[in-house]
Amino acid sequence: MSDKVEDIELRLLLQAIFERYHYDFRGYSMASIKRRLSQAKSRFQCDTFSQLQGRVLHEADVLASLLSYLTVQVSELFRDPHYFRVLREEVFPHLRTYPSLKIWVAGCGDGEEVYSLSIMLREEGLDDRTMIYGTDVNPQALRKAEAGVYDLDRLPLFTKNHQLAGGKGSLSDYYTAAYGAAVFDKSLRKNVVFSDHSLVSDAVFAEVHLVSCRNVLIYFDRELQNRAIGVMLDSLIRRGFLGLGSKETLRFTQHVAAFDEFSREARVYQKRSDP
Amino acid sequence: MIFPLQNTRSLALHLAIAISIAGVFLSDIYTPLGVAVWVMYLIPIALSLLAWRPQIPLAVAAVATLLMFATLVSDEPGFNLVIAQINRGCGIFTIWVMAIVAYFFVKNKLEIDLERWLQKGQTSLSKAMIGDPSLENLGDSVLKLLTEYTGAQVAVLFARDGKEFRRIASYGVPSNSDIQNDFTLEDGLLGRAVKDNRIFMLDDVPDGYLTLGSALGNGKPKHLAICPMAAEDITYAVLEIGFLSEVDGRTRLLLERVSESVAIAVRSANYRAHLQTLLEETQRQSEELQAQSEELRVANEELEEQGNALKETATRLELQQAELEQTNTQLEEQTQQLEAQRDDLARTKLSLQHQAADLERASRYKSDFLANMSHELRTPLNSSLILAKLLADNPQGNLSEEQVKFAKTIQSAGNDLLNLISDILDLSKIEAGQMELRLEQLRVQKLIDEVSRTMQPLARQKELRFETQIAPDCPKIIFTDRQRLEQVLKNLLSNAIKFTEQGEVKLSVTPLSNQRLALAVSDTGIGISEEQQQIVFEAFRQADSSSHRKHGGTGLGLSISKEFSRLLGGELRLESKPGDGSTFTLIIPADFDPTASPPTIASEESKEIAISTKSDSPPISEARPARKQTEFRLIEDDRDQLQGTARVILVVEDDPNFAQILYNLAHDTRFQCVVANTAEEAYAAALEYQPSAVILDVGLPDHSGLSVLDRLKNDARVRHIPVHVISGNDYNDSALSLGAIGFMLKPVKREEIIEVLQGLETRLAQRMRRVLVVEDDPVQLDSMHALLRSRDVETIGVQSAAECLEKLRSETFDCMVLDLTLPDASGYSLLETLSQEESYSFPPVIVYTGRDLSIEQEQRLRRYSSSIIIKGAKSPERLLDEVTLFLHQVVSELPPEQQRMIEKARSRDAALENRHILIVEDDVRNVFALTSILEPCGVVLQVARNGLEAVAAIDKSIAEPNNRVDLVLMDVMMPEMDGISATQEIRKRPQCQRLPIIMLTAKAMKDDQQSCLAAGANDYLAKPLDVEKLLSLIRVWMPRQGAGL
Amino acid sequence: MTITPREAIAIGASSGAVEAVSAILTRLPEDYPLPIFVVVHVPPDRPSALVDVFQAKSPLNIREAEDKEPIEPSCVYLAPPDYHLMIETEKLISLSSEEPVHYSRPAIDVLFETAADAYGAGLIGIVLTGSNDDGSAGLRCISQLGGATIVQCPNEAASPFMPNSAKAACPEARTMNLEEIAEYLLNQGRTYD
Repeated sequence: MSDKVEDIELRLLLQAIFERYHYDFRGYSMASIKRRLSQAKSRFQCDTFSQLQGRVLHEADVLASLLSYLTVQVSELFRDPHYFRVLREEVFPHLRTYPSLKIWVAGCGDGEEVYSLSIMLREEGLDDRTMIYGTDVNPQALRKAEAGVYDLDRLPLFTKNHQLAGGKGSLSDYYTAAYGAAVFDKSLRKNVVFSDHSLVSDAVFAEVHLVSCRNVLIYFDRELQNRAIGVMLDSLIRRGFLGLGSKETLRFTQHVAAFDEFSREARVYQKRSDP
Repeated sequence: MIFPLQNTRSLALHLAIAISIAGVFLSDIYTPLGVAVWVMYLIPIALSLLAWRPQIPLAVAAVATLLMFATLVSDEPGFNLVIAQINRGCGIFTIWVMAIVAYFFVKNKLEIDLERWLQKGQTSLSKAMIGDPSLENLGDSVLKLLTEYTGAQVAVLFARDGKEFRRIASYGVPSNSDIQNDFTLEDGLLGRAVKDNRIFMLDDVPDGYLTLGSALGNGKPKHLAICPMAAEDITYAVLEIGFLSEVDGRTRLLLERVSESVAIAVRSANYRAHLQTLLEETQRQSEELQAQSEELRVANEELEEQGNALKETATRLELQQAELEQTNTQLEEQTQQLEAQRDDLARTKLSLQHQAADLERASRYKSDFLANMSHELRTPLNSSLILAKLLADNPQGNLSEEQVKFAKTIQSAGNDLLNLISDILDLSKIEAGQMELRLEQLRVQKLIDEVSRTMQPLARQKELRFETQIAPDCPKIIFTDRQRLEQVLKNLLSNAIKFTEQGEVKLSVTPLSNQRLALAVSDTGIGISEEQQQIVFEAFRQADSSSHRKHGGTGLGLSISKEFSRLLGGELRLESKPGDGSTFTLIIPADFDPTASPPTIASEESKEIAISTKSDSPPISEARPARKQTEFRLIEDDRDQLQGTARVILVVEDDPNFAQILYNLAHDTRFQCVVANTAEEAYAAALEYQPSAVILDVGLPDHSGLSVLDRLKNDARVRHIPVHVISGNDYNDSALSLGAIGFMLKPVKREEIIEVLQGLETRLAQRMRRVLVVEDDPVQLDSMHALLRSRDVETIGVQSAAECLEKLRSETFDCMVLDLTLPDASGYSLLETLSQEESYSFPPVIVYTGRDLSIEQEQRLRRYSSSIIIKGAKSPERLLDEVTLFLHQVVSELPPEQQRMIEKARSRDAALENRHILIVEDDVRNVFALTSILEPCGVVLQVARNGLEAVAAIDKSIAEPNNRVDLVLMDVMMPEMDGISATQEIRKRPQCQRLPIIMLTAKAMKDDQQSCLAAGANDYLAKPLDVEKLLSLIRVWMPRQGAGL
Repeated sequence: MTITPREAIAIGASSGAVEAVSAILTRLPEDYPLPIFVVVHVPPDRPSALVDVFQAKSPLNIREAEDKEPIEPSCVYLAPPDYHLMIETEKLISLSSEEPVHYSRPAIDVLFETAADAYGAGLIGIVLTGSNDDGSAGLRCISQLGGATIVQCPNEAASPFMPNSAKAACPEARTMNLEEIAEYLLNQGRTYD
């Protein structure tokens, strides 16, 4: 641990947020957190993290805006189309052998991935037997995810991705556009539960067949990655699947031996039979 | 072009002409008219010959003419004017002639001069261009020469390079000036000059003339000549040359003259350059070719070498081939010989087998005969006995004492005969398999009392102590055939009493492990020597024929006892030392199950009962031949020092040498080895030692080994033991069809045997797993067989529920794969039947169905099966995976029966018995887990899959007391309505204010748990669930009975 | 002045990057001791071929960085498309999908700032050719924390805007042409031994 004053202040700030609000960012990757909190620091016109800490502790409003700095919500529908193509063409045939399915989107952000999966399940005729859990720590993001409303100018990209991911119909079948926004079909949320769940502190809540956790682990340090993957491992059924972001790998975590590499390109892993 | 020297010279000349004219004129004035001074005018004319302008002589002549007229007019008249005039006129004429001559002379001279200049220029240029200079050198020398020769200041030479002209040389151009390096036909004056193929002269070039596109930059040339140089109408070069003074005609002429030769020279230079490039290219190519040819050569050599090597190999191979052919022929001959021998052997063997069969038949006839005969014997004997007794009783007293004695002897001998006949009858019955058992519940105490009542008097007769003893932990009641047991005990006791002269006879009953009972009869009699211990049990043989005579008896008693004890599922053992007495121990199961095998004798138990009946001593040859060879031991084996750690292999082989070889090899491969040499012994040993594997010879002295194989495979107790058959005849097909795992034809090589043993070992490392596949479609069934079957997985397929039940009743399986659609019953009902009826073994079930399942259906199936597979592209993969998993789990886990027992044993919880709990949880597996925890406690469960259903269930419970809910287990994360909202909703109902709700949350934070409580939950439990915690929490919150809602 | 042992090199480049970065990497030997982080503005929506391009010219071990990868010497870590490349103080690589900086993800500033934090005076920051002002703030940050800073000679750069902008933001940065930069790095590598 660095003993630079700034780093000490930073750790204290995270500790303060944890103790006051139970949001635990202490195990996050420091490089990223520090950058983002530095931005927040200047935004709140504080000279030091200690000042920011004071404000966070005393003003609950500050936390809400801090959360948006701390949790990164950058995604798109069918982001990395290749990943979704692999899910559709290689993973779903396995999932099809189960009478009922559960999919957990860990760190669902604004819900783009949940809707992507929901659309794909509908296209593959698996939607009726599948339950999707979208979880995140940021309540604002969850509210947005539940609403399923996205800026209209993002739709061209979504549509292109959908096609690249092997989409069967037109994406427009699933949304209604009006007033500069597109709202996704309510029926896509029929079997979806959006819920507050923290990979940092919370436990397994269901037994699932597929965990999709993309570009979440990169914000965790190694120790926290180990914990988070442990939770996912525990919640996966035997031979269940784990999908990661395109540059994330289990190679540097302690659970690497618990998984088989199912698709190296798409970063899809399969839980091993033997414990 | 006026050179300064020429200037000076012509100035002097003009001066001389003028002076001479003036001198002549003055002399002419001062001389009288008749003096022909004017002749002197010829001097300037002559001088003007030297001049460089042809006009000068004419001018001089004109001046002279004028002056001559002037003197003629002005001179005083003297002499003869007319003559003077005529003179002068002649003079003028002469002067003019002279002048004209001079004119032509000068003109000529000028022309010659120009020509010479041009010639010189051309010659020196040619000289400069001699040799094979490069284009640049050529340009340099041309420019140098031309500028110097023409007095130009600067010059640039461009040479054609394809479509454009490139500067090849410059002269007098400052290095920093940026004159153009190249131009095309479209570029400015230069281009135009080329196009028009004429010399351009630019006079008085203005300062900004660069705009004209000239290349001669910042110099000061006032005049410029651009001279295209062409040969055969093709312009090869362009010369740009700058002068300070005006360009005169002859320079232009020179340029025109040299243009062609320069053009040709440039062309040649170009050609040369091109040739040079070509030459270099050719050289390079030739180098390359050389390199390539070198490579080729090397490759060739390599090929050649390889060819040689190949040739060599081929030759070697040919030789080998020839050798092989020879060997083959030799082998064939040997094979033929061997075959002949084998055929002989087979014939011999066959006849032997026939003989053996005949023998067996004869033996059976004998037994049958004896069994029948005994009856026939007994009937007349009986009457003679009765009559003898009547005689001996001598009721009328009409017989003498001696006659009575005779009668008694007849009676006693008849009794002996009768006993003998009974014994023979018993033995033959046993051998003929006609002995029937009458099993009954039997009090041990009563049995012992009974026996001692009969025996006590006999002992008393011989003044022996007779004691009975029943261990306190002995079972009070046993289940067996009383008559046979009594018979054995009485036989043993009477023997003991018979052979004991003094001391005591003791009968003790002690319990053994495995629910067995040891009944030991010990005496302090003569004892039996070790050699004879073996024989005492054999029918028709006795320790000492003399003892028979001394002590009476048939000598069949022990044989019969032994057979009886076997019949009763037990055995008889003997421990004795001559002189110290003997102990016969009868070991029988306390609860005899005629279908079960006689219990195997574990080595520890052998220790428990000190010495077994078996002895290592070879049989003592007796007068009567051994009827059975059962105990005959060909070679020493491990049966007496079996250890639990190493596996046992049973070798059935009657050839002692081969048996020894097998024995040694078995040891080498870390097996313990028991050797049996007859079919009977083999079967008995298989039952007794439960070996891990059997190596079975077909040719055995008593029966064919194949009959042993058949018996083994039809006996559930030993069916699983893999049998490998070895034979001199090819019984491959029949052996394998009877269930052998392999077959070897004698003679076998040592390596083959080792291979077989190792194969057995690896096979044993993983015992055969059995999978029952229930599938009505035969094609599917076949493919599943193919998919699942492997070296250690056996699949048994059935196509209906009835067949499935049948199989499960009679056999056990490690795992079962069930298709839900069956012709006679649904998979659901089959599973329900299996779970409810105890008579079926219920292995783990994998449901394999082609239909999609509703949540309700899945939930129903989950009770019986933890893995449900929907058929599809990837389902075979998963099926194989799941089956493998189960088969591996079976090893590590308790057998399912045992598990069920444990489950049942879990006491039903009084606090929870018949209490109603509502589980609100969407995860089917979690519901199943909770069900399996709570149902054994007697809880009545309802399940709701989300908050809405939960609220509905609560509403229903309020309305109908039968559906009451005593406690709610509420998951938080659920579809439709989550646990928090559902709890709040339930709490809105006044009847539900006190309904205990326990929330199950995966959230770890105190806040989250607070929010559960805030929503109205009574308590919460963090996932993953701890069973004990869950149960205690439920007990805590469960309302006391009667308190109700 | 004491010689600071150098621990790592961070290079940022944009338009003209392939030639410029190649020119430097080609001149470094296989056993060059320092790890090198490179951010090139690559398009986000397709896999980058930079690894292959650079590997063909350099004996160093060139790879696209993976999340939480430990940093090894003689390795060149390229920022993957659509991810920021960050260096943790415990000398690990982190990737991030945060908002683009200067419209770019990966951004040079992000690498420079985090690497400066991780290595302090041990870092050498180099801004090469490019046509926006990414890297300027980062280079200043490196300089403030004691690291060595270099910009490519704008005359030589295919696009001089980025080096100019960096020089303006961080006037103490040395200006060198590519050859000199490679020479400098070689020397720094030697003092490291």
